[in-house]
Amino acid sequence: MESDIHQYYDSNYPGQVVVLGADLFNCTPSQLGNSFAQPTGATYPLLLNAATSTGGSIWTLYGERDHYVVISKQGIVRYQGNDRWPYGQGYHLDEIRGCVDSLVSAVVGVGEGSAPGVALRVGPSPFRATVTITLANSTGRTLAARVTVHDLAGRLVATLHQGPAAPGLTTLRWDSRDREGRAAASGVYELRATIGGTRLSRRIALLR
Amino acid sequence: MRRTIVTVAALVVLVSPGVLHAWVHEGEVAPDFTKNTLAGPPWTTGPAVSLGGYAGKVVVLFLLGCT
Repeated sequence: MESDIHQYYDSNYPGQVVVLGADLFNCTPSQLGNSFAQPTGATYPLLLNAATSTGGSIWTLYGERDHYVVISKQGIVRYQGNDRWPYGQGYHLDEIRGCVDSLVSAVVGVGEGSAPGVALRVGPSPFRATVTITLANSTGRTLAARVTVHDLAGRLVATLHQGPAAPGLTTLRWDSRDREGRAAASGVYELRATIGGTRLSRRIALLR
Repeated sequence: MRRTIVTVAALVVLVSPGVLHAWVHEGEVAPDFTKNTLAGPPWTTGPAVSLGGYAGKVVVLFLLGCT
């Protein structure tokens, strides 16, 4: 958590992501410091007495130990690993990062050479079966467009669109199947769109 | 025998975490909480923080244990 999430987002999206570590075993400060903070080098806030009801029991509200919850800027739960029993099986970094990525970049398109007049919107992410992709073309003219899905190694997984994008909105859907029609595995994928010479990309997380 | 099965089934349901704990699900509003933080070293009780205080930021809540 310290390097994979806390430091990663501090560097890449400063001020946008907060990591909180909740101690569900109500350790004393010295127990928590010596057994967790010091060995792991955690610098993100650690919450004491997280399983007591005063101020809300995080145990009863959010889940068991070693689980992970991602909450959007609007205070909505967007990911939770509570169904991954037993302990220690909830840390799926790709899924957590995929969810956080979609939330920190949900408004502004991430891309190279992005230009006014075109935009890429994707949602929901994470998704379980189908994700909707919207190309927004406000240039007033038809543009050539190509939309593809790649794995994180850059391999092409699926081509969703290759052809004109008329002025206005073009809506596409990915049914989470690859080029051969096989169900894609859970994980993080990169959606790439080229619209009239502008390249945009967005990461999405597929949960099976 | 039937009574035993029913009793065991009832106990299984009662101790199931999903029944005991109404955990949040994706798409639901995250319940607020306020907790003191760990300060240090030397390790002491630090200032309290609330989930609501992080509005406008993405929060990754890690439910750790202390074993």
